[in-house]
Amino acid sequence: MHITPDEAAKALGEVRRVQRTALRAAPPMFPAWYAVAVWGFVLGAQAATEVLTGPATWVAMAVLAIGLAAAVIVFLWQMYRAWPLRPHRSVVDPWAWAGFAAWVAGTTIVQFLATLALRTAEFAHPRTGGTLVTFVLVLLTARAVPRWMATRNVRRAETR
Amino acid sequence: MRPELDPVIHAPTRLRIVALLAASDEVEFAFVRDTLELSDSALSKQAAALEAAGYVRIRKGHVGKRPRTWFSLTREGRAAYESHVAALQAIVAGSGHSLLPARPAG
Repeated sequence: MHITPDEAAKALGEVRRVQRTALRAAPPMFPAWYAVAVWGFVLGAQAATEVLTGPATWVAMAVLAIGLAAAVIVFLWQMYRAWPLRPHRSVVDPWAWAGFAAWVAGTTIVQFLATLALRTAEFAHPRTGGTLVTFVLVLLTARAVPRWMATRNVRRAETR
Repeated sequence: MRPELDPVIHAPTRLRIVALLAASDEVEFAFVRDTLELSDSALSKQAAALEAAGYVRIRKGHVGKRPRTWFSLTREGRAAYESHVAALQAIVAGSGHSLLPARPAG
């Protein structure tokens, strides 16, 4: 089989184009809604234990636990059954997961610091307030993180 | 060992399918069809040819009540793809062409 360098270059260009298109069109490696759901649970749990009292606390915690369990089931179902494309390890940039881990750690640190600041300021419900700050932060950034991860994977596929 | 062009995946449509599968662990039929802008029958035909060559694994299942089909590269398929791409790169490099993707100015 013989092909010219121009034909070979064209075929390689098409390979790159297909992989770029597929990795950009693929669903995120980590669904943003799940991070929001987890922090929503944490926010609810803080409010239930800090603001509510008596039986209302237990009712709220039960409702929150059921909600979190449902979110976990949907998350696992999406990740392992319904995801149309899972990137191969050869195109997954390890720095994408490192960045994701840093984001998760960063949101936890923000919650700790915000709670500490509100407690120092003698705010009535510092844990709830600190978690609310973090929840808003997660809500604002949760979609950008998986998009950034996908961009890193596209770059890795293009430079292989 | 010198990489060689593979006649099974040399055809443009098959190369595009295999390139997409090479970037993934497993891909759903509709995603491949829509991304490559192929008809159902064209994709089924090419996938069957790749499966017959031992390069693609076809898995059928359900998501809820809907039947779904997933494709993945076999070990042989991935090796053949990597060898094919290496052969293409060698041809291009041997001619003095650049392998870097063209980037828009600015």
